Amino acid sequence: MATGAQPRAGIWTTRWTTLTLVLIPVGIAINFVGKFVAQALKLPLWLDSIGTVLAAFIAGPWVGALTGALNNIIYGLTVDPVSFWYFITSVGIGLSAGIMARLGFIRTTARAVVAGLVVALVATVVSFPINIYLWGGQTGNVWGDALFTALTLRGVPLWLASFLDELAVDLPDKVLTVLIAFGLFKALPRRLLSQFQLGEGELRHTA
Amino acid sequence: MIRIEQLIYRYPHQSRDALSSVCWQVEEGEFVLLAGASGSGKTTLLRCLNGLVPHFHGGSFGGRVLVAGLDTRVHSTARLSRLVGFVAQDPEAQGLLDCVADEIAFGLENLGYDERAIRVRVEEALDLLGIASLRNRRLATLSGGERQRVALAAALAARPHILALDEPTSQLDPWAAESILDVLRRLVDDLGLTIVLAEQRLERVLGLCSRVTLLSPDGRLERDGPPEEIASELPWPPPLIRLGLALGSRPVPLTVKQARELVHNRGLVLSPGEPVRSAGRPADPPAVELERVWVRAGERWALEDVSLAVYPGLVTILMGRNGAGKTTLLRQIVGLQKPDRGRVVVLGREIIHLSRAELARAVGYVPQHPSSMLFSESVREELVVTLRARGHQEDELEWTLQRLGLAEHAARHPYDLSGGERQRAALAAVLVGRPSILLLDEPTRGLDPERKADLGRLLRRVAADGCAVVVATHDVEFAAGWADRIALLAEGRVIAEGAPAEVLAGTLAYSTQINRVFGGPYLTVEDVLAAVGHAPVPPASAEVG
Amino acid sequence: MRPVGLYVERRSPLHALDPITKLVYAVCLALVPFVAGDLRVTFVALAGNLALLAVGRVVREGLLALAGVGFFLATLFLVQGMVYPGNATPLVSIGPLVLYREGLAYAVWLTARFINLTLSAFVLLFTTRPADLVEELVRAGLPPRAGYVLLSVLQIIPSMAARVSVIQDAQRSRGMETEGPIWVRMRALLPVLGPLVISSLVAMQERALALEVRGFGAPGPRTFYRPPWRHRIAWPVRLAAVSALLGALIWRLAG
Repeated sequence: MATGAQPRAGIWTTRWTTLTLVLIPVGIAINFVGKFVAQALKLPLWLDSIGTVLAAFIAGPWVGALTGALNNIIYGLTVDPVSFWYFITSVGIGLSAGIMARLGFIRTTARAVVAGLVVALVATVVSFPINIYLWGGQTGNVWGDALFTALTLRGVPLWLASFLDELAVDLPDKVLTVLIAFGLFKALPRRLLSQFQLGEGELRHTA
Repeated sequence: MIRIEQLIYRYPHQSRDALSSVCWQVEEGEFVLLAGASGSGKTTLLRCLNGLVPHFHGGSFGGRVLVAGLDTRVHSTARLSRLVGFVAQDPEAQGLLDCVADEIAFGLENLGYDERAIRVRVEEALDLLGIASLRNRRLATLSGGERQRVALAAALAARPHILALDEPTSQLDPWAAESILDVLRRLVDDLGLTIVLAEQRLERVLGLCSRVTLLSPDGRLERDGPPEEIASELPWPPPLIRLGLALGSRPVPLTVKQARELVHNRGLVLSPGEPVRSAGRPADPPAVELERVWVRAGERWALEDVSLAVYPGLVTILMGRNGAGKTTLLRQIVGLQKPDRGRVVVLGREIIHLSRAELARAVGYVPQHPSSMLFSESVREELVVTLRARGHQEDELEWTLQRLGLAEHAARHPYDLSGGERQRAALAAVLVGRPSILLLDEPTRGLDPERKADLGRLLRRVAADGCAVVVATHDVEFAAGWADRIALLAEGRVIAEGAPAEVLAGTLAYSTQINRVFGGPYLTVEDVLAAVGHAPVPPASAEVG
Repeated sequence: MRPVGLYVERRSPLHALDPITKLVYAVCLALVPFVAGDLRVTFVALAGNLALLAVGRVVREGLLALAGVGFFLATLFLVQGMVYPGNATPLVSIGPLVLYREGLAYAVWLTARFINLTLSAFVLLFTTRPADLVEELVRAGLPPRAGYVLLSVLQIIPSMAARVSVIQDAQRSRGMETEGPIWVRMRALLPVLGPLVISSLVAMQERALALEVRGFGAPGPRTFYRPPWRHRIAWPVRLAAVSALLGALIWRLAG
């Protein structure tokens, strides 16, 4: 019985509830498991931010950013200390995915591809300076690094080669990540999603 | 202790009230059983007691709920949590921390008790539940029954006045469920706690509680009173009550002991009958045959020298404790795991010669949680996924939906369905591929008696079409009612196999309540009534006047 | 089921040390090379870390974990050897590829810095139960909500990973392929992740509820069941770690 006008969610509004709070660990766990499944299926991609993107789709950019940040912190504290450095990248992914979602870019598959391109670009722009600082510009992905080497040997400047190296890796990875998150998001039961939306489910006393 | 006045509540986005005009009062020290079909508002009523309704769920709320004098509209769930201990259905989802002692201490830490008080109360709760030995164990390593005890300990640690329990045994095997109920019995006796317990499986609780409140399917308070009085009016009475009703006994027996006395007083002695003749092997060639199968699981054998045949047209039920090898056996038949020794033959061909696709066409498998397989936006889409994976035509689709009573839900999201409907959706997604063999793992978990009977009938119909149906379950009453053949597993071995009466009668762990009263080959009320030549069997769904 | 993380259960002086001290140590030592900008200092830090891993009796585990990135480090030498902007002195040539001295030196520097960072972290990670670290962080002032998020991730992951295999089984028995060409495997992703995500989100609601009924977020200060972790040498170690970092800074400024 959702009566009355439902205020449309602004880009930055977030409904902070216990539910939002537990969405974050689930998002992080999905990141982890997504990566695990991708490896099990021998896919040549990372797919390690599906949960961050999904959390951003569900609850907005701030929750996305927080999921991304905590994801890398917990990763750094348990498995891979280097992931601390890429904490900013994850925040960028969460923020951009949330903003694109709130701007209406997850209504159709075509729009979701655009959202994916934006997220990929943001991830690349944030990551490549870190790559240059830590690894002299490499990403650790064989194909990306082969491109990097070829470009640099042809005299392309280091920053550009590094940018393209990261982009070559991130473009397919992030576009697919966003598409998968989009597919998952679309299949979510409305009843579940409604709990995160604004202006609904507010307590009302009828007597 | 609890006073509810004119409560009306509706969840957000719902078109009907979950609870309407409920007036209810519970005194200190009462043990109230909250009964009613699934969807009748039992859970909602429990969640009113600690303010989850309305604070957590939202929606529209009218009337008021007073818990120990506190109005739940004014006080937060955190405040009410000092008064009301709460245990939910699923032991997995309730565990919040890694280690048992931390889990029990968590609530106390949140409420700001000092370190010394927390220590005392944690020890006290551990002792109360008899789980002091689990103190330093990780939650992930505990069995379902142990986890549920930890959840109870965590709820009791804050020394609440009221304990609200939402089907705490529904996800457990019968032994674990029994142990939880034993604990409750002790808590009532020793602590004088006020307990409100929502349950579907009434047979073991009726003899335990001091009062029964029955909710009608539309969320109204239907009946309220002592168990002896209400039991005879329950919509889906457990076997002993049905026996009492059939024999015209008032009050109806609530426990096996009372039923024995009743039978004794009536002089209703049934001849042990001839020993059940061993049901011969069916004439049809088996659909699945396991020949001396051994399967390794780490250090030990999950299956040891198992030989078993499954026949088309019959419902075969695998019984046994958790870890007895039921699921491993099913996985052998779907080809998800290869035997280390022995052969598995499906439809006359050895399984290792069958391709994944051929096997998938022949064998349908519904895993323990139907939610493990549903991922589409609608029930219909879910069926299409299976058909596409198998290269079938879509003309089976509408027929299957009709048959499973899902036609009107075809466009709905599987997760917006009720538990029973969701399970039928999973079943439909498997059956639409017309498998010759259908396997189900623990399908009766969390189903109310009516849904269970629906499932039993459905499986019988599927078998009647020539499908070989195999069900792994703990549920003795279900097996007694619907199995053609039963295989009993223990420690990876088949220890008995045959007709239900042959396998279940006289065993201690697996006998039905009726069998405990009468002994002999009598497993169900129908068996008994047939034997005494008693005429009208009251329908299982006796109308409530 | 195996818990997430690198923690190795063992008895050692390092295991007995409190988590915050180890965290301070790991952060300081990991940053030393970045601050000092000097290869010799890096090697000193590296040796110190190795020694501490030996004290914690986890050297073997540490080196094994490092081996995982061996391939990447090898490509670092190859690529930097070829393309480092400062390359001038050819050293070796493999076919058409020429590796330069400066590039290789740069790769040595990057690698040493990376290995030092990793080993510093290992001193903490291999000897500290993640739950203990989080609890101490909350005690030190991390908001309990953040602490809860970190802890529950560690719990959810194993149970989700276990569910993945159940779901994969269910979908495979429905005839879905999980092997074959890449597009077939790609298509297998949604049927596995779909049920996983939906059921996790549903379970998440249950968890939110369980938190509420256990008084989570109650006003007033939160208290602790476990006594604070005290160690005699906690402060000396913390001071030593911070002075190492300061020393590195002075080295940089002076050198």
